[in-house]
Amino acid sequence: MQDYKILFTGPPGVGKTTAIACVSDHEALNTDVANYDMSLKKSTTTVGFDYGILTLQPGEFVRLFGTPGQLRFDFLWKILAKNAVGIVILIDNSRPDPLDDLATLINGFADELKTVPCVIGVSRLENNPLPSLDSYADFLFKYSLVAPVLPTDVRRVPDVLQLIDSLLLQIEASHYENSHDNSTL
Amino acid sequence: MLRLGFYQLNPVDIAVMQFILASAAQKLSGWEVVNTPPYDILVVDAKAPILDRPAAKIFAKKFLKVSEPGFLLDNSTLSRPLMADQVEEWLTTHYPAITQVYQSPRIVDKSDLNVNDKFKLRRWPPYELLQNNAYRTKIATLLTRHAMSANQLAGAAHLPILACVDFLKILKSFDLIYTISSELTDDTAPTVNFVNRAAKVNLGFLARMRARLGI
Repeated sequence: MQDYKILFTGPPGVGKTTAIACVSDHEALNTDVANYDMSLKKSTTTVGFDYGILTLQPGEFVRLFGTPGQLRFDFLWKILAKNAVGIVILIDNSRPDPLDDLATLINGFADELKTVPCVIGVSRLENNPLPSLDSYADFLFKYSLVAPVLPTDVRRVPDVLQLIDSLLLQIEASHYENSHDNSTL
Repeated sequence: MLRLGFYQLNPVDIAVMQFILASAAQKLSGWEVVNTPPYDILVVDAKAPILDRPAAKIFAKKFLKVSEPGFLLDNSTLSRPLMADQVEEWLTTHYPAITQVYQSPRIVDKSDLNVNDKFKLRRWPPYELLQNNAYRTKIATLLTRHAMSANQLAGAAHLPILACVDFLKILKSFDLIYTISSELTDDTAPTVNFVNRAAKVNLGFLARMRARLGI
């Protein structure tokens, strides 16, 4: 059996559960409980992790994990990120300090981001244009990171697919890097 | 020819600028109006948000700001109404400084691109440069972590090589890519010496994943 893992992470309420449910074969499993944190504008929050699965062929799966958004569960991040082939970082531009949210995630996944393909999906841009997408690219640059920064609405399947495709393209590029000739694979 | 463009400027100012440039065509023969970056001079409204962004300097060598009368003027600002003599004088004054940049021996001809070299992204391109264009986004994504040649990009992105070369030239002109020479390694390019987990994923997986997701 061959299985791969893609991780979805981001602050609470950004839409990790929704994004996973968009592409999962089955209804995504989640560990949501009633939310009593009034700073979060939603009725439930994920305390464990979200889980979805994509079956590619018999015996070959892609497991989609969503980290809990709240910082008090950040000990789970490393566990969930282990052996991931890609990380989708979702950022909610309507939150008070989205760049600080990104900084927290960059620091939390610092080791993984050195080697694992990553994409930043920025949501709720339409009513919250700042920080701009370019500000995120500048911010990553300061951390010596280069990653696609894409506008995203996790309720839209094509947007979620674009994030995943962005990871696949980076994985594909890694196969070219070690080829010394210029022919295509 | 130096490239002049307009951005976040009202249509009246654009029309006035175009009229001034056309009527002084002989005097300002070194300038051409263009619609796409890179710009040598970008004429913008003094209140344009782009001026506050770090990415702005990538787009243009200099900005000519157009402000309301009474706005604090500096040597990069002209106030409305735009007057032909002021615009001509401003462009004529700044022409030598910009052409000198091009003539400086330290500046490499950025339009020159060896298709056998490999390229890697230095920074994710500004949104205006990607223009919501799926192909450009795809090329930039392929170059985020790994160096690829134009040939390899064409194969991976399923694009004509010329389209890849054109976009690589744009990225290069904005200094957004490292060049890893086919003959010797550019010492400004970062060394990739980590064990890449993604490289262990087989290509068949990518094909099956795309087929499964319909992408």
